[in-house]
Amino acid sequence: MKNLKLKSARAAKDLSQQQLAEMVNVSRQTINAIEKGDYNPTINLCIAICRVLDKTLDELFWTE
Amino acid sequence: MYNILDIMFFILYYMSRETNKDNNEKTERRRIMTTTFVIGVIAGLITVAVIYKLAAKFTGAGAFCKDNFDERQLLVRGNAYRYAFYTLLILMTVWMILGEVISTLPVTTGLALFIIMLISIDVYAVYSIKNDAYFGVKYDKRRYFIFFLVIIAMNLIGGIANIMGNEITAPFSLMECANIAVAAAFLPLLVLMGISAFNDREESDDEES
Repeated sequence: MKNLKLKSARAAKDLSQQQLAEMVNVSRQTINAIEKGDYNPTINLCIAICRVLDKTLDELFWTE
Repeated sequence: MYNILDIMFFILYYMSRETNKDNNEKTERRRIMTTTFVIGVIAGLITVAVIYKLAAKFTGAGAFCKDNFDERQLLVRGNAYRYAFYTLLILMTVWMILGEVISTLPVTTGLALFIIMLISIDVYAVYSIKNDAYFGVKYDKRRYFIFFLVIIAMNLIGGIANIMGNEITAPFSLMECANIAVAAAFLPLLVLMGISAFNDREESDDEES
Protein backbone atom coordinates (compact mmCIF):
# COMPACT_ATOMS: atom_id res chain seq x y z
CA MET A 1 0.00 0.00 0.00
CA LYS A 2 1.34 3.43 -0.98
CA ASN A 3 2.45 5.75 1.78
CA LEU A 4 0.91 8.98 0.55
CA LYS A 5 1.27 10.60 3.97
CA LEU A 6 5.04 10.38 3.73
CA LYS A 7 5.04 11.69 0.19
CA SER A 8 2.87 14.70 1.07
CA ALA A 9 4.87 15.45 4.24
CA ARG A 10 8.06 15.40 2.20
CA ALA A 11 6.55 17.62 -0.47
CA ALA A 12 5.32 20.01 2.24
CA LYS A 13 8.90 20.39 3.43
CA ASP A 14 9.93 20.95 -0.20
CA LEU A 15 12.34 18.03 -0.14
CA SER A 16 13.13 15.68 -2.99
CA GLN A 17 13.50 11.95 -2.38
CA GLN A 18 17.25 12.34 -2.80
CA GLN A 19 17.44 15.13 -0.21
CA LEU A 20 15.37 13.19 2.32
CA ALA A 21 17.44 10.08 1.64
CA GLU A 22 20.68 11.96 2.32
CA MET A 23 19.26 13.42 5.55
CA VAL A 24 18.34 9.99 6.93
CA ASN A 25 21.40 8.28 5.41
CA VAL A 26 19.69 5.85 3.07
CA SER A 27 19.53 5.52 -0.71
CA ARG A 28 16.95 7.39 -2.80
CA GLN A 29 15.58 4.06 -3.96
CA THR A 30 14.79 3.12 -0.35
CA ILE A 31 12.72 6.28 0.16
CA ASN A 32 11.01 5.58 -3.16
CA ALA A 33 10.28 1.98 -2.09
CA ILE A 34 8.77 3.19 1.22
CA GLU A 35 6.54 5.71 -0.56
CA LYS A 36 5.41 3.09 -3.07
CA GLY A 37 4.72 0.63 -0.26
CA ASP A 38 7.27 -1.87 -1.56
CA TYR A 39 9.35 -1.80 1.60
CA ASN A 40 8.44 -1.63 5.30
CA PRO A 41 11.15 0.35 7.11
CA THR A 42 12.47 -0.54 10.56
CA ILE A 43 11.41 1.54 13.54
CA ASN A 44 14.81 3.26 13.57
CA LEU A 45 14.37 4.51 10.01
CA CYS A 46 10.75 5.52 10.70
CA ILE A 47 11.91 7.62 13.66
CA ALA A 48 14.71 9.20 11.59
CA ILE A 49 12.24 10.16 8.83
CA CYS A 50 9.75 11.54 11.38
CA ARG A 51 12.44 13.71 12.97
CA VAL A 52 13.46 15.19 9.63
CA LEU A 53 9.87 15.86 8.56
CA ASP A 54 8.73 17.07 12.03
CA LYS A 55 5.97 14.50 12.20
CA THR A 56 4.99 11.78 14.65
CA LEU A 57 5.10 8.07 13.87
CA ASP A 58 1.31 7.98 13.90
CA GLU A 59 1.05 10.81 11.41
CA LEU A 60 3.31 9.16 8.88
CA PHE A 61 3.13 5.43 9.38
CA TRP A 62 -0.12 4.52 11.14
CA THR A 63 -2.74 3.14 8.80
CA GLU A 64 -6.44 3.49 9.66
CA MET B 1 13.74 -47.22 -28.36
CA TYR B 2 16.16 -44.61 -27.05
CA ASN B 3 14.88 -42.17 -24.52
CA ILE B 4 16.15 -38.60 -24.17
CA LEU B 5 18.74 -39.52 -21.53
CA ASP B 6 20.28 -42.16 -23.81
CA ILE B 7 20.53 -39.68 -26.67
CA MET B 8 22.11 -37.08 -24.39
CA PHE B 9 24.55 -39.70 -23.14
CA PHE B 10 25.62 -40.59 -26.69
CA ILE B 11 26.06 -36.95 -27.64
CA LEU B 12 28.20 -36.32 -24.55
CA TYR B 13 30.14 -39.54 -25.15
CA TYR B 14 30.89 -38.47 -28.72
CA MET B 15 32.05 -35.07 -27.47
CA SER B 16 34.31 -36.74 -24.93
CA ARG B 17 35.91 -38.92 -27.65
CA GLU B 18 36.63 -35.88 -29.76
CA THR B 19 38.36 -34.12 -26.90
CA ASN B 20 40.92 -36.90 -26.39
CA LYS B 21 42.72 -35.86 -29.57
CA ASP B 22 45.99 -33.99 -29.20
CA ASN B 23 45.88 -34.22 -25.43
CA ASN B 24 49.60 -34.98 -25.16
CA GLU B 25 50.60 -31.80 -26.99
CA LYS B 26 48.29 -29.78 -24.82
CA THR B 27 49.70 -31.32 -21.65
CA GLU B 28 53.21 -30.24 -22.62
CA ARG B 29 52.07 -26.73 -23.54
CA ARG B 30 50.17 -26.45 -20.27
CA ARG B 31 53.23 -27.46 -18.26
CA ILE B 32 55.10 -24.51 -19.75
CA MET B 33 52.20 -22.15 -19.22
CA THR B 34 51.61 -23.19 -15.59
CA THR B 35 54.54 -21.23 -14.14
CA THR B 36 53.50 -18.06 -15.96
CA PHE B 37 49.90 -18.63 -14.89
CA VAL B 38 50.78 -19.07 -11.20
CA ILE B 39 52.98 -15.95 -11.23
CA GLY B 40 50.14 -14.05 -12.94
CA VAL B 41 47.60 -15.17 -10.33
CA ILE B 42 49.88 -14.22 -7.43
CA ALA B 43 50.64 -10.82 -9.02
CA GLY B 44 46.90 -10.30 -9.59
CA LEU B 45 46.04 -11.11 -5.97
CA ILE B 46 48.74 -8.74 -4.68
CA THR B 47 47.44 -5.98 -7.00
CA VAL B 48 43.86 -6.49 -5.75
CA ALA B 49 45.04 -6.34 -2.12
CA VAL B 50 46.96 -3.10 -2.76
CA ILE B 51 44.02 -1.49 -4.63
CA TYR B 52 41.64 -2.53 -1.84
CA LYS B 53 43.91 -1.00 0.82
CA LEU B 54 44.27 2.23 -1.17
CA ALA B 55 40.51 2.47 -1.78
CA ALA B 56 39.84 1.88 1.90
CA LYS B 57 42.33 4.62 2.81
CA PHE B 58 40.84 7.23 0.44
CA THR B 59 37.16 6.50 1.10
CA GLY B 60 37.57 6.06 4.86
CA ALA B 61 35.80 2.70 4.76
CA GLY B 62 36.41 -0.70 3.26
CA ALA B 63 34.56 -1.63 0.09
CA PHE B 64 32.80 -4.43 1.96
CA CYS B 65 31.95 -2.36 5.03
CA LYS B 66 28.27 -3.02 5.83
CA ASP B 67 27.79 0.58 7.00
CA ASN B 68 27.94 1.64 3.34
CA PHE B 69 24.51 0.10 2.74
CA ASP B 70 21.14 1.02 4.18
CA GLU B 71 18.76 -1.48 5.80
CA ARG B 72 16.77 -2.28 2.63
CA GLN B 73 19.97 -2.83 0.67
CA LEU B 74 21.34 -5.20 3.32
CA LEU B 75 18.08 -7.17 3.14
CA VAL B 76 18.23 -7.38 -0.66
CA ARG B 77 21.91 -8.36 -0.57
CA GLY B 78 21.08 -11.13 1.89
CA ASN B 79 18.57 -12.54 -0.60
CA ALA B 80 21.07 -12.11 -3.41
CA TYR B 81 23.66 -14.15 -1.49
CA ARG B 82 21.01 -16.85 -0.94
CA TYR B 83 20.19 -17.10 -4.65
CA ALA B 84 23.89 -17.12 -5.55
CA PHE B 85 24.46 -19.95 -3.07
CA TYR B 86 21.58 -22.00 -4.54
CA THR B 87 22.98 -21.41 -8.04
CA LEU B 88 26.39 -22.60 -6.86
CA LEU B 89 24.89 -25.75 -5.34
CA ILE B 90 22.81 -26.57 -8.44
CA LEU B 91 25.68 -26.01 -10.90
CA MET B 92 28.12 -27.98 -8.73
CA THR B 93 25.63 -30.86 -8.65
CA VAL B 94 25.25 -30.72 -12.44
CA TRP B 95 29.05 -30.69 -12.82
CA MET B 96 29.38 -33.59 -10.37
CA ILE B 97 26.84 -35.69 -12.30
CA LEU B 98 28.44 -34.87 -15.67
CA GLY B 99 31.85 -35.80 -14.25
CA GLU B 100 30.51 -39.19 -13.17
CA VAL B 101 28.74 -39.91 -16.49
CA ILE B 102 31.38 -38.69 -18.96
CA SER B 103 35.01 -39.75 -18.82
CA THR B 104 36.48 -36.68 -20.59
CA LEU B 105 34.63 -33.39 -20.62
CA PRO B 106 35.34 -30.58 -23.12
CA VAL B 107 36.44 -28.30 -20.24
CA THR B 108 38.90 -28.90 -17.43
CA THR B 109 37.73 -29.03 -13.81
CA GLY B 110 39.50 -25.74 -13.10
CA LEU B 111 37.67 -23.89 -15.87
CA ALA B 112 34.32 -25.49 -15.03
CA LEU B 113 34.59 -24.47 -11.36
CA PHE B 114 35.71 -20.98 -12.39
CA ILE B 115 32.68 -20.60 -14.69
CA ILE B 116 30.36 -21.90 -11.96
CA MET B 117 31.85 -19.33 -9.57
CA LEU B 118 31.41 -16.52 -12.11
CA ILE B 119 27.80 -17.50 -12.82
CA SER B 120 27.04 -17.50 -9.07
CA ILE B 121 28.64 -14.08 -8.68
CA ASP B 122 26.62 -12.86 -11.66
CA VAL B 123 23.39 -14.09 -10.04
CA TYR B 124 24.29 -12.17 -6.89
CA ALA B 125 25.27 -9.01 -8.79
CA VAL B 126 22.30 -9.04 -11.19
CA TYR B 127 19.80 -9.46 -8.33
CA SER B 128 21.50 -6.68 -6.34
CA ILE B 129 21.71 -4.27 -9.27
CA LYS B 130 18.08 -4.90 -10.27
CA ASN B 131 16.97 -4.09 -6.72
CA ASP B 132 19.28 -1.05 -6.33
CA ALA B 133 21.37 -2.70 -3.66
CA TYR B 134 24.66 -3.30 -5.43
CA PHE B 135 26.03 0.14 -4.71
CA GLY B 136 26.18 1.63 -1.24
CA VAL B 137 24.49 4.87 -0.31
CA LYS B 138 27.45 7.09 -1.16
CA TYR B 139 29.03 5.05 -3.93
CA ASP B 140 29.93 6.75 -7.20
CA LYS B 141 28.22 4.59 -9.83
CA ARG B 142 30.08 6.24 -12.72
CA ARG B 143 33.43 5.17 -11.25
CA TYR B 144 32.16 1.59 -11.01
CA PHE B 145 30.89 1.74 -14.58
CA ILE B 146 34.32 2.85 -15.81
CA PHE B 147 36.00 0.25 -13.58
CA PHE B 148 33.85 -2.53 -15.07
CA LEU B 149 34.50 -1.23 -18.57
CA VAL B 150 38.27 -1.36 -17.96
CA ILE B 151 38.01 -4.90 -16.55
CA ILE B 152 36.08 -6.08 -19.63
CA ALA B 153 38.44 -4.34 -22.07
CA MET B 154 41.59 -5.69 -20.38
CA ASN B 155 40.26 -9.23 -20.21
CA LEU B 156 39.01 -9.12 -23.79
CA ILE B 157 42.42 -7.94 -25.01
CA GLY B 158 44.14 -10.64 -22.95
CA GLY B 159 41.70 -13.31 -24.08
CA ILE B 160 41.92 -12.43 -27.78
CA ALA B 161 45.73 -12.26 -27.60
CA ASN B 162 45.75 -15.68 -25.97
CA ILE B 163 43.46 -17.17 -28.64
CA MET B 164 45.50 -15.65 -31.47
CA GLY B 165 48.83 -16.68 -29.93
CA ASN B 166 47.93 -20.29 -29.20
CA GLU B 167 45.91 -22.91 -30.97
CA ILE B 168 43.12 -23.60 -28.52
CA THR B 169 41.31 -26.92 -28.71
CA ALA B 170 39.19 -28.93 -26.32
CA PRO B 171 39.48 -29.64 -23.45
CA PHE B 172 39.55 -25.93 -22.74
CA SER B 173 41.55 -25.01 -19.67
CA LEU B 174 41.38 -22.19 -17.16
CA MET B 175 44.68 -20.76 -18.40
CA GLU B 176 43.33 -20.46 -21.95
CA CYS B 177 39.83 -19.19 -21.26
CA ALA B 178 39.97 -17.32 -17.92
CA ASN B 179 40.12 -13.87 -19.54
CA ILE B 180 37.24 -14.51 -21.92
CA ALA B 181 35.17 -16.00 -19.09
CA VAL B 182 35.75 -12.94 -16.89
CA ALA B 183 34.88 -10.55 -19.75
CA ALA B 184 31.71 -12.56 -20.50
CA ALA B 185 30.75 -12.48 -16.83
CA PHE B 186 31.21 -8.72 -16.46
CA LEU B 187 29.50 -7.75 -19.73
CA PRO B 188 25.87 -8.41 -18.61
CA LEU B 189 26.58 -6.53 -15.38
CA LEU B 190 27.80 -3.51 -17.34
CA VAL B 191 24.69 -3.55 -19.55
CA LEU B 192 22.43 -3.93 -16.52
CA MET B 193 24.20 -1.08 -14.73
CA GLY B 194 23.59 1.13 -17.77
CA ILE B 195 19.89 0.21 -17.90
CA SER B 196 19.57 0.66 -14.13
CA ALA B 197 21.21 4.10 -14.27
CA PHE B 198 18.89 5.14 -17.12
CA ASN B 199 15.78 3.95 -15.23
CA ASP B 200 17.02 5.68 -12.09
CA ARG B 201 17.37 8.98 -13.94
CA GLU B 202 13.89 8.62 -15.46
CA GLU B 203 12.44 7.88 -12.03
CA SER B 204 14.16 10.92 -10.50
CA ASP B 205 12.86 13.15 -13.31
CA ASP B 206 9.32 11.83 -12.83
CA GLU B 207 9.51 12.45 -9.12
CA GLU B 208 10.75 16.00 -9.53
CA SER B 209 8.18 16.97 -12.17
